[in-house]
Amino acid sequence: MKNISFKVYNKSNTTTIVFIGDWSINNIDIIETKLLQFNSKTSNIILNLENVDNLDSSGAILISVLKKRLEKDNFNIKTITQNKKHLKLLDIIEENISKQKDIKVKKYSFLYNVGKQTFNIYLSIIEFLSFLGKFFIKSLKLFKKGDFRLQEIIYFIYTAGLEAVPIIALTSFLVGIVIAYQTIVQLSKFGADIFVVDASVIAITRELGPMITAIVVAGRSASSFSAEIGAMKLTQEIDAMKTMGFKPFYFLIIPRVVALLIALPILIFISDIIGIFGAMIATKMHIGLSFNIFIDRLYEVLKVKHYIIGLIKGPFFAVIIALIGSFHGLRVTQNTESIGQETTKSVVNAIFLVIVCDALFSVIFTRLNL
Amino acid sequence: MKSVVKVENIVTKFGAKIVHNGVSLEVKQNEIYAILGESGSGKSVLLKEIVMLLKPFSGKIYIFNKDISRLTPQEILELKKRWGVLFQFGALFTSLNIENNIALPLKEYTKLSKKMLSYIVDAKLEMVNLDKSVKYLYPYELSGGMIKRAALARTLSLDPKLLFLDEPTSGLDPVGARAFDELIVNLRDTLDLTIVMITHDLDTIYNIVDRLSILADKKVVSSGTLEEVLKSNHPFVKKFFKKRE
Repeated sequence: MKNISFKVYNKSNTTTIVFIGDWSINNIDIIETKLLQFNSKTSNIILNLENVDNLDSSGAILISVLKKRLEKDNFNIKTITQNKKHLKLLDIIEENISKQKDIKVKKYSFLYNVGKQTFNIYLSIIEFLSFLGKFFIKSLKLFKKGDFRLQEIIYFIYTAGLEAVPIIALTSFLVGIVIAYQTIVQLSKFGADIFVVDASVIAITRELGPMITAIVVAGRSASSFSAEIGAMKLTQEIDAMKTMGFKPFYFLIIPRVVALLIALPILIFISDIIGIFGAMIATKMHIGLSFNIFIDRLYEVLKVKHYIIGLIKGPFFAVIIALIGSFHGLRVTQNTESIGQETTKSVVNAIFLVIVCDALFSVIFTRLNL
Repeated sequence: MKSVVKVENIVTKFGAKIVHNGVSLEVKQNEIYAILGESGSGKSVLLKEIVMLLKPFSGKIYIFNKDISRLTPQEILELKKRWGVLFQFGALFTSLNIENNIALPLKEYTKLSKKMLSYIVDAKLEMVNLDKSVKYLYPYELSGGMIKRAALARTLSLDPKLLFLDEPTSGLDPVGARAFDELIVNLRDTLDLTIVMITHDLDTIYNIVDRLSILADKKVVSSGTLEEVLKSNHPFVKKFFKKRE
């Protein structure tokens, strides 16, 4: 099948190249280098295509490239073949190739790219801030009108809230066990075993419960919000909405934010309970502290403020997660790859900002001696 | 004339819904062949069956005189290199620029040098009358007509002998559509192609199509050259061509 070759004959002042066989896309990669290395010693060259059984456009391109180069070097070239189709194809391709000009692609230096990327990051921060501003203004208007889209809100409470309960419960339970174990080991060195209750329940309600919940919700919902909104943008659904006079902000973003505002504190509450339960089990297994004593101690040490401080963070995390998810969804451009990129960014940024927000809270509450 | 595509008694069912009930047609070498029908008549499904994206419930499809249901994986690959399919909306890979879209099949299936690849890409762009400057653009930066041309260039990259076009002129303005028709005829003449297309475009049918088949009532109700089809008394045929007469 791979029958393709060419032969070169020298006769006084003329060189003849005889092309033989199947000059098609299936074969030309075999012969390409060899053919293009051809160099003639005579000034007249004849390209003999009589023995070509099959010539397609790629074969013709290869021959034309050779011919173009030889013509540039001032050789006299003649093409002979009886096959009119081959001749016509060659003519078309030659004309086509002769029109080709090299387009220069600008190459930028490393420094240029670093600058460009930095500027892009700056731009996206500005963009997010303006998005945030837009969100607050729109939600103020919304509160005046009272036009909440209840059905969507309930739907998102279900998918982003209720469906997240099992995984949040499991993670909190495990983290509760881990934190209790770690503190018991340290505290029993001082014979202060009972303080495990103080350490674990305060840590869970103040920090760990809200954080675990927010991170799980960010992983689940920020990504799904981005992908949903991104796909809608790609299929022009958002454009369709706009032309019908629906505001994507009210339809897509506010329901998601409101749903998380409602769902996240509830999820944190669930996470607190199950985390503490995990700690109880770990304590019982390790030092045999009964549930009753644990709960008695819990009443003494767990002041309501710890629990409230944990819960207060909920709405803040909710807004961060829902807005980051929606923001990145809206940034999707007209190609499928960008959905993946924006989804990744939304999860990473949501988790990062949740942690930043939590750190800020820690500083503030400590300064306020809470 | 050799037969290139032959469809025999195709029956297609989706659940209880019958789409085709004994569809047969034959496309000869070097022809421009059109498949017509109302929306929902199963044109696209038929095309998908021919290009092996769907399997018919029963019936046989021969391409280059081979029964496509009896090919080995190796033969299927060889066959797929010999045909090109142009989808209705181009189906260019959005993550690649136009140059890489066209070069992708070449890179996968040949060992040509980079230089040669770029010559071929340029030549294919020239064949479909696209400016070289689009090479470095991404599909979403192109207009509908340019996307179709670029997609056609990708379809042509492996020098197929058989082209399937799904509504090639839909979404193009009349001038663009006629230019596309002309392009198709030119390509057929220069590259020795056989072309099977689904189309609704009456101008395309009148200007460039050699033979056609009309799908209605789950069957081919009329086929042959345009004159032959126009003689048919089937209501859909009458309705479809009424405007012209």
